[in-house]
Amino acid sequence: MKKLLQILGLGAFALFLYMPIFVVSGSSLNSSRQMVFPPEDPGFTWYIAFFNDPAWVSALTTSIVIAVCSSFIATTLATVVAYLLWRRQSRLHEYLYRAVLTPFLLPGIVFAVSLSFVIAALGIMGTKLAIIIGHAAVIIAIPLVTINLGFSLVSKEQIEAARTMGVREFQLLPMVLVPMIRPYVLTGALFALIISMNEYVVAFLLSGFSVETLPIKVYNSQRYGFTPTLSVGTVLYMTFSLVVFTILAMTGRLYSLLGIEEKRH
Amino acid sequence: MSALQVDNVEVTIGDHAILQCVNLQVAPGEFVSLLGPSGCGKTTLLRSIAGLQSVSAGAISAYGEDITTMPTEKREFGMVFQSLALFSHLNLLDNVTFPLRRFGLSKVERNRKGEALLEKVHLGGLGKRSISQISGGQAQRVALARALAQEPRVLLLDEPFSALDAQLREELRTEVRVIQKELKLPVIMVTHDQDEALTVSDKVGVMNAGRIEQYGSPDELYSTPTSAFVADFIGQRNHLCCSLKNGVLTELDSERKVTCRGLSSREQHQDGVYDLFFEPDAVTRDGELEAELLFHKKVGRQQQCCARRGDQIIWIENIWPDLPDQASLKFGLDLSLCHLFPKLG
Amino acid sequence: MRAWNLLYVPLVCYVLAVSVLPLLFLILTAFTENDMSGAISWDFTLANFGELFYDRFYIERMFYTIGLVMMVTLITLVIAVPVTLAIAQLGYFWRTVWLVGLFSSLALSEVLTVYAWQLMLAQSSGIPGWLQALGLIEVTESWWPSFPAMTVVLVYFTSPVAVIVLFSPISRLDPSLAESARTMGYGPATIFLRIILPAIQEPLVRTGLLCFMLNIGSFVISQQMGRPSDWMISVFIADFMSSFSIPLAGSMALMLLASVLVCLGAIFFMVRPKAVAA
Repeated sequence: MKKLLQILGLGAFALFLYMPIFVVSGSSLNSSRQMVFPPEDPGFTWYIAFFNDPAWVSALTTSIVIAVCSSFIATTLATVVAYLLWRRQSRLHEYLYRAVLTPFLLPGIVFAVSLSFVIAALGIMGTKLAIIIGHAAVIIAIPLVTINLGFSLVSKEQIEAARTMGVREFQLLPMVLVPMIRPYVLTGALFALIISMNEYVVAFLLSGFSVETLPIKVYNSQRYGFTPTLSVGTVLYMTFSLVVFTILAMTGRLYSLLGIEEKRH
Repeated sequence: MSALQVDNVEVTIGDHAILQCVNLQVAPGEFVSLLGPSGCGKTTLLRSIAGLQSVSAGAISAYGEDITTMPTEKREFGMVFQSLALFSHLNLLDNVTFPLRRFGLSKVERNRKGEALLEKVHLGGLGKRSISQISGGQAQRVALARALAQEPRVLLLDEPFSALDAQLREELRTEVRVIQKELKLPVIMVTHDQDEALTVSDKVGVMNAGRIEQYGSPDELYSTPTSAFVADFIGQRNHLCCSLKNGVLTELDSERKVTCRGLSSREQHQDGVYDLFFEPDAVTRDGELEAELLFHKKVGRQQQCCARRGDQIIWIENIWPDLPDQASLKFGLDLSLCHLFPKLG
Repeated sequence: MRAWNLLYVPLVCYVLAVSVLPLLFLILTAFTENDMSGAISWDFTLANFGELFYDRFYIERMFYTIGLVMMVTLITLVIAVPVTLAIAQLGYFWRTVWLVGLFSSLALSEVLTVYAWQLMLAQSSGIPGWLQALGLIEVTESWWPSFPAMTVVLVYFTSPVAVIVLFSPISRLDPSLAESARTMGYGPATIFLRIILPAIQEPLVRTGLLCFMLNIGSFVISQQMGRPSDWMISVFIADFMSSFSIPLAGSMALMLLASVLVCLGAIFFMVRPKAVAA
């Protein structure tokens, strides 16, 4: 009985979460401009239209470029912070850790507004660089969590064992640490990438009407009425996320995003 | 020349003197165990020998070479840690061949040696498995094979079998001893399990509060313990406080006579208070000591009684025929099977 | 070792640029007439706050926002806890499927989420339209913008986050706690209220805080799915930014931050004594 209730409850929640996605996917397959669901005359018309429209392709490209750059910066910084924290555990490093996390912890609009003032003062408002910096500041929390987890799983005894096997101090990093934390770095970087692609508030406030990421373009396009091109963007993004997370799941790295090391039961 | 020599080593951390004036000599090919209760410093001693803990005073040397200040990486000692410290991102074979990377061998060579080592520890053919896919006993063997890979001059084991069940423990300690004898490798093993230490070792060092109380062969420790601590720790012994006066040994609290035989043997004891330790089979039928029977232990030819004396539980041999489930026992002791130590303080 | 110390230079620059400077500038714009487009003036004044507090509108909006987000957080937690408990009991495969789905849903931009819901609740193409086609109800307009629509999408936005954050502590719950309670004769409701909830009370508070922060900082959902009378204060901040009313935006953002910190402080005071007494 309890099992049945649980399955029904989970089913309802799954429906709640994915029904809108389902509707959007369906609407993207409409052949006409009508946003009908179920789609009449399903086809990939609008997908072709999307990729033929330079404005949409440009928005998508901009999103990807910003995402790759900000994810790279965020992951690199996060690795450094996590390594220093693991290596030299001290109050000072804890403060550094918290300072790096602050942008993520602030309410989105507050941080975006405050950062925009700094960006304006630096004179780089309305550039891709500004958004890259803004995104890096917010998404750094993700690789920081995963890489921290990776380092926490390196036991003191593993390092000592390596030393008894003749590994010198300067060899520890490349021979022992890098292979051990590499998967966590990748996982953090990928998740950060996805979040950056989807991020709106910071991008909106730093774009200054000259840079258009895909979320910005979708937001701006909504006031002109809905067309299935908007749905295409949504479907593309959702598919990308699903693919990435499925790959992470298959390589067993998904659980590190939760901050736990899970063993298969 | 000894394989390993520890001379007057002291280790002090902060205000605590963890090791005080420790001396140890391990001959080539000898299997030595360090035995003692938690906190006695046995792991600290092992780690000092490995170079993972610096010594505050004293010297450590291996095959005549002073290694007191030599870093761990250069000592060529293989070590198996209590937590095993296997690399979870590598499979079994890569774990075992990891120490071989600095020898400039080709990958094929390393793998060949690794496979041979896995065969030696009865894990042949399992090289491709990952660490998460093997059992506790198998993991132990991998850790051992990995420590042996670099052909160390001394092997150090830190409570290697503590996470295993009893049967696996016995199996593995026998295997380790066999491999050790084959390779003529000096081994120092830390353990709190006296059965383990006494079974496989050539020499055992019983440690207490940072010192080695007695160092000798298992038989020496068992038959001729040199202190009350060792007598209590080794073997399954019961304890009695007694006083000797004018050649009569009586129990301290009850004033009952302890024994009626074997007193005038071997050593001459002065009058005073003593700690007496006796084995279960040291009891005799005639005597004044009393105990209340709690339950029997009958396993094959082993017949023992668990009895209560005041607030003490003792184990004694069942020397009474047709003993009921509840009984008051009266017994004496054969002093030739007991150990007496003057009570200190 | 010396080489590693060089790393601190870029790190400290970064921290200054994105963590310290923004907050300083926020305070600066809130308390001056600066609009960050020319030279910086250092005349501190409370003029901005005077404008904000001129009538009670923004103050009411602030209380409304906090109340709304608290309600949304509560609803989210009430949904998330049983869902997470159920998922934690699934086998490895289905648990992983759920996690993939939850992460993907969580990652989706609020803009795209809003768009999806606008389709779903549209008169012509969404649920109202289907229900009308089935002859169940009569619809004259879409179900958005409205207060229920906004609330539903706010809950939709943070519930995957809540489930994901609760997943770790819930899956770590010792099953023998509940099992021993069953041997003592307690039923599932009692076990849930007396054993499970207290065991996860710290993660629950943490999750609630996270959801609270997430929702209070976003404006797109409120702006698009709600009528102007439903708008959260963040919508007004974004509005001020778009119309270049920088000082007002700064002061309102600072006010929002201050209110959030007050709330956090209040919650810590409420939760700490319990933790100490426990």
